[in-house]
Amino acid sequence: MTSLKKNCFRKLCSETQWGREHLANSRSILSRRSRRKLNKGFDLQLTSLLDILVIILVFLLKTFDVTSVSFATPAGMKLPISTSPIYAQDGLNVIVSLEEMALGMEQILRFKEGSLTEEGEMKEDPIPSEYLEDAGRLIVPLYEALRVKKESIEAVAASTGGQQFTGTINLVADKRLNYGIIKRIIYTAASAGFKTVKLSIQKKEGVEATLPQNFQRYQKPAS
Amino acid sequence: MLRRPSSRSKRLPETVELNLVPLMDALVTLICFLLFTSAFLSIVEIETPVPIVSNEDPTELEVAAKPIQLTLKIHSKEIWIEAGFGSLFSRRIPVMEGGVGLEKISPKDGEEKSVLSENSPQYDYEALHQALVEVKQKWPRETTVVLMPDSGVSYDTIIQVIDVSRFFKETDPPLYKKVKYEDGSEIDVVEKELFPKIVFGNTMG
Repeated sequence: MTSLKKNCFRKLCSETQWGREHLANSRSILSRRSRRKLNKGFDLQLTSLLDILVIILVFLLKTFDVTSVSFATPAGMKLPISTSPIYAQDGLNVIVSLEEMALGMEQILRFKEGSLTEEGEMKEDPIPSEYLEDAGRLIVPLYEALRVKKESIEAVAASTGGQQFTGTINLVADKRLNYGIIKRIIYTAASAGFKTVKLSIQKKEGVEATLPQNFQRYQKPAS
Repeated sequence: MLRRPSSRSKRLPETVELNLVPLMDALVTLICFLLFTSAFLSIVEIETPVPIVSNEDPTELEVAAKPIQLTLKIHSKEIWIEAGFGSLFSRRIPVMEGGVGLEKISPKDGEEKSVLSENSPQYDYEALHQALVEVKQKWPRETTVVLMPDSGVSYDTIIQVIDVSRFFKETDPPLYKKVKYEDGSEIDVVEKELFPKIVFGNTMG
């Protein structure tokens, strides 16, 4: 009688939805075994992965540089390498490559095509003559762009009492360029009221650099 | 009759597994942050004030400093070092014979090789540095050098000249300067800077 009951119950369990749920939730030996099989997941060995991540983290922390300035340069631009021990600061960047001249992110002049070779040799004057004044020493588009910048900096300083106009530009130039172009940029900047030119260059490996003495990026503006 | 020993004592101690997933989450986030914010190319600067034409008389301090007007004239084949417009010191540093320069063999693959070429002069930066050390030892108070490169000189050459002009090297003979403390005592300190102030002298011309 008992075995008949058991057989009927098993049949009921295997054939109906209620029976299958009952088997899964009940505390019988059979269901406990099946549950153990179901719950058994596979463990990922994360220790080795963690080792790799820690090594990458240490490497990145060693090379991390909070003082670095960031600016976009045209593709293929090569900066000269220097042993100068002073980190560059953020500022107004004049970026000059073999193809163009830009003030910050804004292109202000495109050189004549084919006027400069890949080695920087000048075949002809790369700046069109209609953009030159003052016996070819002043680059008009750059002068006008710098004047606008100067006026906006002064206006902001006057209205908000923020950072004063310092008259400084960062010159980021390709190392293959000739001094003839650099000279004109310095002259144009000086004419527009920028009396100090900072040559931004790539730091030589192995040279320790420090912040400049007048470093003020994280200081509060004078009230 | 002996009883069967208890199986409880044979049970191995359970190993504790650390849950490393949150730690990994934190590390991955940190690495992403560092990758986005770090710069693998460090940029340094060299400050060059633009010379100003002035009718004002020099100040007492400027007169007391007795500037020697140290000038470096960089030409395509030589560099001239002059002090006092050539009256105090004058030396010519020629380009090294058979100037060794890097020339591209084939522009396609960008391969470079050292070849003898007249078109790529190699300036003798070591000789220039030695001459400047000599000048500094004669006039230790001088700190400014005026650069007057030709228009055809490359920007890279100018930066190399500035590099050898600004600081002493470890192999140079030491130059001592006196430093005064607040209590009046003086000590000798090794000078590290050669001519740190750089001015371009021919931007107006």
